[in-house]
Amino acid sequence: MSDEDLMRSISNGERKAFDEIYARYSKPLLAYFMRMLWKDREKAEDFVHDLFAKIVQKPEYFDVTRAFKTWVYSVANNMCKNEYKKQEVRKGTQNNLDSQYHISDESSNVMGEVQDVFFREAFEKGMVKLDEKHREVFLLRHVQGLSTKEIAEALQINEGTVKSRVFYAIKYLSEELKMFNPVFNR
Amino acid sequence: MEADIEKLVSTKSFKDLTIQERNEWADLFSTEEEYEQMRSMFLGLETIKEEEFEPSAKVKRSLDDLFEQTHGMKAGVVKTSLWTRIFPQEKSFFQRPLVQMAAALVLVLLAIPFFTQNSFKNDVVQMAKEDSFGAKKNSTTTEMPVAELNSEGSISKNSAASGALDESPLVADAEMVMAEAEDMSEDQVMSAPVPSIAHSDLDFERQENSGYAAAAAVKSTSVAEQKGVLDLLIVTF
Repeated sequence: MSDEDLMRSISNGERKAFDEIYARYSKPLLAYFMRMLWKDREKAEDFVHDLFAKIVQKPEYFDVTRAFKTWVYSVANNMCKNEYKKQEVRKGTQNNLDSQYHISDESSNVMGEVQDVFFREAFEKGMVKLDEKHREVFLLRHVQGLSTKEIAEALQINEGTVKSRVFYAIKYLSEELKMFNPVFNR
Repeated sequence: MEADIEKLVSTKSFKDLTIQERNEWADLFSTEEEYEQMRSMFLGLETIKEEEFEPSAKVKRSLDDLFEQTHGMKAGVVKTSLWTRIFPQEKSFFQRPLVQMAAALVLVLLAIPFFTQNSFKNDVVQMAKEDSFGAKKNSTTTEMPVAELNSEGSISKNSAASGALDESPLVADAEMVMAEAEDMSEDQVMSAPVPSIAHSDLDFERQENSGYAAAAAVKSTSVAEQKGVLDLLIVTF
C-alpha cells in the first residue's frame, strides 16, 4: 500500500494505516529532526509527535495529488524553520543561547574512540555550523535519500537551487571534515 | 547529478577520473585534496545513514490516544448530527421526524391486533362450522350403536314375541302371563313370580334403552328356567 493510500485510510479513521505510516516515517523523521535541531533528542521527539499529531488530526491537509514523502518533509522542514525563528527571538533576549547550537565536545576528549564515532560527532558539529538552507537540502538529499526533484517539491524551490545548495553543503562539510581525509593526514 | 558524485567518489580515486568527469565536477573539486576530502566525507556519511533513531514508546502511545480521541470524536459528531436531524429542536414537537416515526409505529402496532382479531373471528366461525359438521358426523357415528342396539333389541323383542328363538318364548309367555294375570286373584298374582317376569320385562325395557338388550335376553332365559313361573303358566292354562 502506498503512502498516499495510507493517508486516505487515515482520513477514514483506520488505525492500522496510521500505524503503518508511523512505522515508515517515525525513525527517519526523528533522525532528520535530531540533525536539524542540534541533536536535541527531546525536542526532536516532540517534533515527531507534533508532526504525526497533525496527520492524525488534520489528514485532509495532505494534498493527495502530491507525494506523501515530499509533503511530510516539507512539513518537517517548516517546523524546523519556525523553531529557528523562535530561537532567533530568544537569542536576542538571552545570552546563554549559544549552548543550543553547540554540540557537546565530549568526543574531542576521547582520543581512543572508534573513527566512525569521531566522524559522526564531527559531522554533527559541521551540520550545526552549516547554514540552515544548505543543511536542509543536504540532509534531505544525502541522509534522508530524497531526489533533487522531491527536495525541490518539498521546499518549493527549483531543482537548480537544490543542486547548487547541495554542492555548497558538500564542499563546506568536506572542508569541515578534512581531518578524516587520509590524503590530508598524510 | 549529486547521486552521480556520491557514486563517483565512492568508486573512483582522483587518478581514475576522466577529464570529462573532472570538468563536470569542477565546481566541487579542482584538486586531488579536495576530491579526497569529499570522498572521505561521503564514506563517513554512510555511517551516519546507518545510524537509527527510535522514537520512545510514549510518543506512539500519546499519538494512539490522540487518534482514538480524534476519530472517536468523529463518530460522536456523526451520532450528534443524526440526533439533530431526527429530533430537531427548532421544529415543533409533532413535526420532529422521530416523533412522527414513533406515531407511525404506534399506529402500526395498534392496527396489528385489529387485523389479527378479524382473522381470529374468521377462524372461530370456520372452526364452528367445522365443529357442527363434525358433530353431525359424530352423532351419526355415535348413534349407530344405539340404532344397532335398537335393532338388536327389536330383534330380541320380536323374536321373543314370536317365539322363534329357543330362549325367547319364555319372555313372550311372561307377557302373556301378564295379560292373563288380570284374571287372577291378587294373592296369586302377588305370589306368582310374574313380577319378577314383569320386572324382568321392565328391565328389558330399560335395558333396551340403555343398550343392554343382549344381557336382558340372557336374563329372560334364566327366568324361563324358574319352576314357579312354569307352574303358574300351567295353572293359568
